[in-house]
Amino acid sequence: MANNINFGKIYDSTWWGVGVTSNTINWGKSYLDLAGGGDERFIITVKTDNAGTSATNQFTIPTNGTGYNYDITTSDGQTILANTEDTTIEFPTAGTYDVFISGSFPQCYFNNVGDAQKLLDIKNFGIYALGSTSQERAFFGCSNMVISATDIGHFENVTSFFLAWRDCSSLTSFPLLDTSSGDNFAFAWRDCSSLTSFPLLDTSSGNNFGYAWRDCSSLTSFPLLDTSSGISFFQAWQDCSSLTSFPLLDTSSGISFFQAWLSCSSLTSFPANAFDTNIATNYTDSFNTTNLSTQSIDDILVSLVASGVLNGTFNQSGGQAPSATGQNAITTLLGRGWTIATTA
Amino acid sequence: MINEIKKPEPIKYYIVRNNENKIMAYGVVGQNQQMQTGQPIMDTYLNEIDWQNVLLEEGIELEEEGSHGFAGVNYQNFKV
Repeated sequence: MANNINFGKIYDSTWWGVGVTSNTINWGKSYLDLAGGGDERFIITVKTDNAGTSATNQFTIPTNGTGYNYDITTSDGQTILANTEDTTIEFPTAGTYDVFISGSFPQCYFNNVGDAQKLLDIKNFGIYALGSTSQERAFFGCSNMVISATDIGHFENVTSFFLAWRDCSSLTSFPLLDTSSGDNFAFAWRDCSSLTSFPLLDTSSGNNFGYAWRDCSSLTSFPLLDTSSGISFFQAWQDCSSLTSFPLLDTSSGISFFQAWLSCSSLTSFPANAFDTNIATNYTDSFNTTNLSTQSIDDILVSLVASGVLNGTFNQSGGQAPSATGQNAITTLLGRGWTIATTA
Repeated sequence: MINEIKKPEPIKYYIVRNNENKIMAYGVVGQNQQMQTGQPIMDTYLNEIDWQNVLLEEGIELEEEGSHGFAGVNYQNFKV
């Protein structure tokens, strides 16, 4: 691929790089990917005078561990080459700047500290996460961040998304990243309180969904994710207070549903047969402070009977009480050693 | 025999055990709830601290966490 590209027109330098002086751009090296078309740089927008630990005219790129060898260019014309760890960029004045990262950059590591609140936008994933197996705590605490990127980066080998996007409270949507290798989604989107929808990510390898969507209080729907490998659903959807219904997920491998839907205060409808093949005994506080209809609480209790499990615990409060159908199911469950609390 | 708490006023805390005296479930029953257990032993408590102390003696630690959890209680012994 040639380094000299005649675009026919001059593109906005804040997006396509610096040094645009004519219709021919000398990139030094090409940032266009081999598939042809996409920009392979990881591109972010930062606001230096938001709260953070660096100075009001600085931004620190947070890294974690090894595997980094990255070059930086900035929208104000700086170039910082061959970085292998955290890098603090100093700008002439406080303001909003684009930062372009190329090379090897496995993950950000904001971890709810540092300059997390200075990150405003992921404009392009590009090389981000290439070769990475962990995105733990990557964007944790980036509460002002949106993702306008239309590409999906390189998340295909990532196994742990633990705390990856926790407290990203400005996200209203989430991209369809390749999460097919992910086994740990614990806390991944907790407190993403502005998400109104969630994409149909590939979560088929996930075994830990504990706290994953807790406090996603603006979610009005939830997709039919593949959760069939999930073992822990501990508080997974707690306080998703705008959910009114829930899909028929396969949670048959789950062991803990402790407080899983606790305080989903708008949750009226829950599917029948949801737990028919489940092995779990722990549904403690799972449906407390919900708004389940009589049909839904009946369906849940009948489904627990269908599971055939002994000595379990189940709690519901709020919403409607079970009908005679639900009461009959309770009688059967009590005979199997269950402890059941429901709305009366 | 089925042990039961129905629409208690004030709310009641409970610990249920099997015949080996192992704790099988514990929790709180609100005024608009009913609780039933197929386990043979049930102890009830009006005082939350008394209830927590019994659980603590059995190695079950409850964590307060503000507005989260029923009755402000999270159950720290259940790990993710």
